[in-house]
Amino acid sequence: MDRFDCEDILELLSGYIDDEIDSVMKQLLEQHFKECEQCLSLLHSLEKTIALSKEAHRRRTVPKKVVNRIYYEIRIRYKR
Amino acid sequence: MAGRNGEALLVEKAKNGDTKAFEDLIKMTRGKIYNLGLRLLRNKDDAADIMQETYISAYKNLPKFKGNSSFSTWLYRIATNFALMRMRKEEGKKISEEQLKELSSHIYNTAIADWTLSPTTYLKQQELREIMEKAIASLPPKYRAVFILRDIEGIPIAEVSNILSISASAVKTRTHRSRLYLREKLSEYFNNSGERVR
Repeated sequence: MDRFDCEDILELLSGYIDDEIDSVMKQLLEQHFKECEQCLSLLHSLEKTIALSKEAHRRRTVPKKVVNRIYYEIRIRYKR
Repeated sequence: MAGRNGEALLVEKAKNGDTKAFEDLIKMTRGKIYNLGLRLLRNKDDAADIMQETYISAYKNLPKFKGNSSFSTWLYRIATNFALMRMRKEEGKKISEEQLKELSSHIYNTAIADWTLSPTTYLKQQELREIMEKAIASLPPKYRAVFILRDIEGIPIAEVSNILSISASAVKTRTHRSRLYLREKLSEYFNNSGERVR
């Protein structure tokens, strides 16, 4: 394959984002992005979707009472 | 924090009935397991229940843990299985697998928006955060689990494949379809809310 159609690109975008495609394919994709604003926009919006998902799910601290309950359960169930 | 060797030592001690060593393992992993439950089930009580079920099951099954993966990967597997059982009983509208598969052809028939603001700027809007959470919750459970482990927890493809006992190629396909679906949901939001799109 020496050139891509836009619809072929769509299936390769996640592989490109995750660096899961070989270097030849990567070069061909990057060439396509230079020539096709639509595919470049799609790539950017997909990258932003991933960033937004991460941002929407900030880590929370585990409530102490939850951990203490687990310690208690294990101690009473498996006391030797 | 203990490395892999420290972890292995604690696991050995816990296998011999040392509950204190197991408590140390809980201390090392509790944040990961609680947050995974919270992200998969979107509810603090359910996340707490999953966490308790996971550690009790892990303690009971410690003799079966052979150390072929890290202890936290093994815990992720137990926690995800418990969460998946609950997710399958959930009510609410979900997108079907068929619809997810058809997304690719749909995307090129609609205008592609270029979102120009930074993620943090967008997420200052509580509304957008809720849209994102709802969209993730509307994924079928097996897609949601892959997306959360892969894109939110940032776990490598091979490890997600190990946690969920599915092939690496299934991880890649489900991740990709989930991303396309969520992108569609965000595009709808930006188009409807009049955000700047190009």
